[in-house]
Amino acid sequence: MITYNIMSKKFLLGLVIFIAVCIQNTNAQTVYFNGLGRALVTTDQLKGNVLTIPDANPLYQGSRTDSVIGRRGTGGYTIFDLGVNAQPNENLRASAILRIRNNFGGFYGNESSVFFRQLRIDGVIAKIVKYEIGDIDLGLTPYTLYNFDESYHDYEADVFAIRRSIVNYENFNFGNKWRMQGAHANANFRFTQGIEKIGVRVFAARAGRKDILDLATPDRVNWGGRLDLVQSKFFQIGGNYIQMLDLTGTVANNVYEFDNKVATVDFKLGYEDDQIGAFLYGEAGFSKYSFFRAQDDSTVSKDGNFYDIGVSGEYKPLKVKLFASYRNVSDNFNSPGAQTRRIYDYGAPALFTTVKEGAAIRQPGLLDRISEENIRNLNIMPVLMTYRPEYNNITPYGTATPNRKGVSFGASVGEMEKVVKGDVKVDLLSEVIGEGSTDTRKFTGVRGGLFFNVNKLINWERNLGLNFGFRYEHTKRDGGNQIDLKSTLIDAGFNVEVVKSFDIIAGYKMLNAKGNEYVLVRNAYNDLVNPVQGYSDITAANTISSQLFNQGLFAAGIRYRFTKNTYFTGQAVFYNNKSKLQSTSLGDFDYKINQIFLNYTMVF
Amino acid sequence: MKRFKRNSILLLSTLCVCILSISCKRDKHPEKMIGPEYRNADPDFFVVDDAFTMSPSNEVDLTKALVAFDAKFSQEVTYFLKLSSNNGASVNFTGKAADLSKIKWDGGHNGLYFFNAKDSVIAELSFLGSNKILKDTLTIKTPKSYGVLVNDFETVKPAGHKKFPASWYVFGGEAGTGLSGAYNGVVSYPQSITGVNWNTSSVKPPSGNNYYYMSGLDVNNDFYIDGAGGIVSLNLKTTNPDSVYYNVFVYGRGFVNDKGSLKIQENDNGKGGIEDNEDELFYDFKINWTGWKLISVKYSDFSFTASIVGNRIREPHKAGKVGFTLLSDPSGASTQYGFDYPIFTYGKPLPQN
Repeated sequence: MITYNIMSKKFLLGLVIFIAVCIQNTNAQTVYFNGLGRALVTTDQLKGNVLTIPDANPLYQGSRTDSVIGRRGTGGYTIFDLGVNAQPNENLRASAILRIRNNFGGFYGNESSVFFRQLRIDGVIAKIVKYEIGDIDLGLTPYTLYNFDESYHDYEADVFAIRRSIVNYENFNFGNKWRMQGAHANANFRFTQGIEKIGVRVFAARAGRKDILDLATPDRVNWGGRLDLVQSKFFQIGGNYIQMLDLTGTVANNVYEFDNKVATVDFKLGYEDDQIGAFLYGEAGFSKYSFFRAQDDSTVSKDGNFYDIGVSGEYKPLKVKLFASYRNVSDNFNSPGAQTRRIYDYGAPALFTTVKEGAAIRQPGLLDRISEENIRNLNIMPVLMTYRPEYNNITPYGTATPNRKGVSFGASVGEMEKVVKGDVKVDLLSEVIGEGSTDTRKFTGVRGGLFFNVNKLINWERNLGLNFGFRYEHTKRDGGNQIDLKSTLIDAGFNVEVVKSFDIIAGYKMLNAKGNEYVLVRNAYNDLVNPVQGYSDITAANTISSQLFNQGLFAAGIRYRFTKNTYFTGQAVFYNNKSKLQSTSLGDFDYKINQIFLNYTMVF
Repeated sequence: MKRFKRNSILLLSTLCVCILSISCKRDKHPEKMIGPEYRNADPDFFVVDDAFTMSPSNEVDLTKALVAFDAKFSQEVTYFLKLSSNNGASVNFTGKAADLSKIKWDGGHNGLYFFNAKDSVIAELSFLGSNKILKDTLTIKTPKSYGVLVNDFETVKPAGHKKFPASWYVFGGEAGTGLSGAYNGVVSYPQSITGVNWNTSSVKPPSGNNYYYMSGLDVNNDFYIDGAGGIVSLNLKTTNPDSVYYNVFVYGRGFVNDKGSLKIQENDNGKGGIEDNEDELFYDFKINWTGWKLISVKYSDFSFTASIVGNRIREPHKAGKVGFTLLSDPSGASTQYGFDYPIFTYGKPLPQN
């Protein structure tokens, strides 16, 4: 407690100095502020068979009601992110985001916290080299460093997109970049003849969070860069390199020595004018993996490679694009920066974390995936993370998913500013080599959707939009261990601006999965190992806890837009999760969650 | 400038060709699959006579015998065999076979907890794609030996209101001063200790139910708080300090000041006992984690205590006394830790399960 007080005083002192410097510099007109404020409250109700437990005791007539788990709850928080940007001249800027948070139910400082959410220095050296140091967002290509989306949601309704944007903001999921702590520099050299531009980028950053008190685990960093040459809009080529490694000597004993290198080349070659565009594009590369673990006293090394080549065509007057590509990613291609998942499929949600009197963790579903802030992963992982096949079985590790080959093709039409924007993409992929069987899986995937701006069609001055999205996947394998898994994800929604800046928004999301699949566990060396976990719609031992999914999520509410980025929304949410999962001792796990969601967000 | 541009294009083109050629090389897998091969149980799958047995199964001495399993199946199938003890230890086997003839258990374990003497072990056999589950039991007389065990703290003698291993003594320091929060002795799970800020009732040790625990306040700001240890008969069978590891499980609470030290003293002169002019080696470690953690230190990574002038040669075969000390770093704080199952292993560290 004494230490706590000292820490608090030190922090408060620092805070006072920080604010004083800010105010002083504001007067000197070298400081400007931006930020975000948010108040968020949900009130929730849990219902369904998940609250009933079989009981052999005849006194309870074969079952009893869960007497431990709460059925209702209300929670939320208020946050204020104050971004302070000190810019003494055009070549230097230091910025910090100070977060003040008060959890719902906290009064007079209880449950309140103050901390720095982000610290960054950036600037320009000699008007050529731009640099960033501190908390930075990094990305390269889909095969080297890329934070891919957790599931397909390109056409989900506004009512869900609002909630997803909150989770993304809280977890620094800005586009497809990874939030890291390190340094980044880039420079562009422009030419007047022959070559339009040569760009150079280099970066070095920690692979993820590390406890500063952890003196046993070595520092793990990512470093790399990109050299790209733009000859003209008709030809460009780039080379990418990224290495993730443990820094020997940062701990007394090297219990781990991880080292993974990925090098790729990407290019784009073609023709483009005001009417049409046609391009050949692609990326190819290799990986070299090495991991030493002291407890085994052994080093495992493996090499992987890939190539991905495609063609695209565009007819600009009609805003129509077509594309087709072929890729082959070997089973040993290892690229942590591009293959790490941003979500823990088996994470424990904060909302109704446990069920069945605490004997089981409630598995996150559609509702949690758009609203749960605590099941996102912020670290680049050296091992491919486990996943649930019903959400994405074709490319669970993004475009760089290992052990995949085949054709993808599709088309897109329109754009968001027009009446219609839509696209469709088809994947016809298979495994390069069988997993646990000489037979290989075949994957068929279709996904797409459209936004329909009805107001632009009928020339209505207010917003009236419809959206529809779908994703269908079929995984099939013949032979001794047959696999046949089908999953369908559907999105639908609308938003109507009934009064100026006042919208009625609603959306529906459905996920259905049926069939069987096998999920193999990976060890520390990223090798597939037993135990095999079956994934089946039959009631059987050793099948993992998700079978014959049927999830439905409906939400409807209102939104008032004060400005483009400042709004209030109130929503009623109804979530239904059914499965064939059943346990002799715990019964079935079907449940419903009804929720009221209130959110005020202000961005300035 | 033209040369620079030309060279840049040439360099990138060469890089492109090299990477493309490497990318087109495919992986070679002679077995034509990756991962372990598995096999689902057919709908008419059965276990012959529904028989599943272990042998030996009664009072098993795991230092002398391996446990074999007998069960025959109607087809090749992926099986899951889990052995678990009444003390929380478990080990898993899995594979694809038509029987269990190739499975031998040497007493090893997965996870933190060891199988112990007098444990009752339940073996549970199940199959991929089948609801069938078969069970058998055995009892352990002597658990597996992983190396030269210093002490498992299961056999102790009372010393006042505390308990100590035979032949151990406390080094003397603040933990023995009787100050509130001071402790230096063996703790039995789930025993709780009054006056100590340590949730002992929830700390289950890796081996058995006893572990050693020290706590105290560095009153005189000299980093050292207290220690304990004793002369032990190790008789390590090697003279090579690179081939011996000293392993111990340490329980920490994630507190910044907590620090421990392992000590080994050598019988340099061969007279037995440990004298002042014989080497003392030490290894200090910050205890910045929460829960149990296995520390494994190669004998050659121990440092010599500067104030003790022995022959300055690391001689594991002469190791004859071990000690554990509790430190505060930074000094002046109240620190603590628990430890269990100190053991010397040959060739490699104790497995991190």
